[in-house]
Amino acid sequence: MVGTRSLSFAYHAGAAPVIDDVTLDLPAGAVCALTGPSGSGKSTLLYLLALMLRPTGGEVVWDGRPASTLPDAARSRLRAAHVGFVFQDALLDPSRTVLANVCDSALFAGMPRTIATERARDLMGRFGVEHRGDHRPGEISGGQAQRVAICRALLTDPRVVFADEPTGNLDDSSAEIVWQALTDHAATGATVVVATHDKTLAVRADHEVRLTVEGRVTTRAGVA
Amino acid sequence: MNPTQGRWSGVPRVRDLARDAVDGARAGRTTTLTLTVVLAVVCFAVLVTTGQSAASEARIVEQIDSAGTRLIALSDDGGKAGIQATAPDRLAGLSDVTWAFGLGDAVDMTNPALSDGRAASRSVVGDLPTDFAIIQGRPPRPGEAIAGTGVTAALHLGPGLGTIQPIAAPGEDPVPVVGVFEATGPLAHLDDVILIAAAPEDAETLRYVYIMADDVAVIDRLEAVLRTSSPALDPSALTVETPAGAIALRDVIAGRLGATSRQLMAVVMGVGAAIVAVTMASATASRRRDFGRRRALGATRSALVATTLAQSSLGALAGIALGTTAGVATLAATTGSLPSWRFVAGVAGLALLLTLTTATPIAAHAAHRDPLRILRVP
Repeated sequence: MVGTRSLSFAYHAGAAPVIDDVTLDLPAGAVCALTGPSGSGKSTLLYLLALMLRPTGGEVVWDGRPASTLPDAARSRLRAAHVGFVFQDALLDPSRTVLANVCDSALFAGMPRTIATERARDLMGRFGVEHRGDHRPGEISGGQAQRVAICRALLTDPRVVFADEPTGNLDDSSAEIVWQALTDHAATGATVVVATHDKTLAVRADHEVRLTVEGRVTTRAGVA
Repeated sequence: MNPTQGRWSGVPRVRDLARDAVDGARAGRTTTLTLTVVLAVVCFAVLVTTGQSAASEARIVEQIDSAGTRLIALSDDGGKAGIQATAPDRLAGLSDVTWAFGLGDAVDMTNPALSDGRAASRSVVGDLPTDFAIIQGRPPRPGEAIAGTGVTAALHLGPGLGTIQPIAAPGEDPVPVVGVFEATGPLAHLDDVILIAAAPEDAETLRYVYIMADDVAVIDRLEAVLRTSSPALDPSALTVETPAGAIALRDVIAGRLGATSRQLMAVVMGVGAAIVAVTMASATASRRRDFGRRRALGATRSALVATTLAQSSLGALAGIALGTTAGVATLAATTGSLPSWRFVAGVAGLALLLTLTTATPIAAHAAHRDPLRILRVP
């Protein structure tokens, strides 16, 4: 389980905090949506939870233990071993094949290459992009690219998936595939955190954390 | 959540990182090719310019060395020092000594068959050095002689050679001459002498001892040893000659040529470093999002730097191999002389070091960029 304790964050010393004294616990086995208007700090909170930013106050806890105070290398290893990431624009490496992009997350997790390749092909089959394995990202559609990104995020069977506006650039059918993949993964016991401005997605999430431009949060359903 | 409790360690496997570096070098063809070309040009330019100087330096130093920068001569000009006949063997046994031999008193000799000619002979104790080339006949055994090329005509020694006898003692047994030698380098003056091989126990005191050091650098040390534990009964009557002047000349020439080479190399390497820096800065700038994505996927900063340097090194190594091969081949074809393998290896090592030292701060800077700024889509 991922959570925060009196978490605060400001981009510069003396600047108004983007996140201000937020305490919450995001339960495992559920999809939690981070919502709010532009500039409310959805992505900032997501990257704080993912240990990519250091809080300016309070802390991020993973399984009840302080995680944001760990050294950078230790936080990176936690991400590599337990986290999957889905970015708004898929963020695939255009110089490598689709299959190589899917296997990218395995490298830093320490997953053997042969296992990674085998699992990548399985996932690509599940998401209907197996025939695109040898193509470059520039040769596939945006919807396919995001499905490839989902495959990459799920390759290591992560305990936590962070998704930053994962359906922002997609048509309805592609968005539905991505959303279904995330909810299916949550059903396996993982924590799925989605930053989104899409209210229809937020409604479908098990839990919702609403952020305000003042850095405060309100919650819906099982968020403590 | 502890990484050791999960299914995966969160620590990349070295083999997979290496494969990733190869894949990355292939994928980033422009950067890899640029580094290959730049390093090839740098190595080629250094070798055909500085390498030529280094080869010239090596040739000149070799010529100076052939004139005896490593030779120490002990001489008993007044005949009173009493150099022991066992000295050459003892000195040859020292570390840092290539060879040593001694010469006895000069005795005028003639050919008893045709006694109108004369030449000086000296007994020789110790192994004859390689500077004595036997060009006819064979090396002498104790009691036998070999003649220098300058005296064969005077003593009427033909193809079958002959015998010699002391002019002052015509009743003594003739000494067979079994070969002709040609002395080269610092011993060339011995071409006008007949050398009669003698065992140390058969020889009396010696007038000269020649000692060849393994290296110029040990001359001073050997000289000190000879002065503190002299092989002469009266060390004060002994003259120790070292090639101090030749060594000084050698150092001056090597220093001047070396300084020119170093300046030239610094310029070429400096230009190369600047191009590598621009290439790396451009490559990392174009991969900003790639770096941010990999940080999100769990890459540590050190892993990012390591993979970036490994990718750069692959292109650089290919260029270094091409450049050094082409440079050495060009030098061989145009000058016929080659710099030492140490120089070539040094240029290659320096070029790789240049790549890594130039690329490391750029890669480290890229790995320390704020990933959130890179990853967020406005």
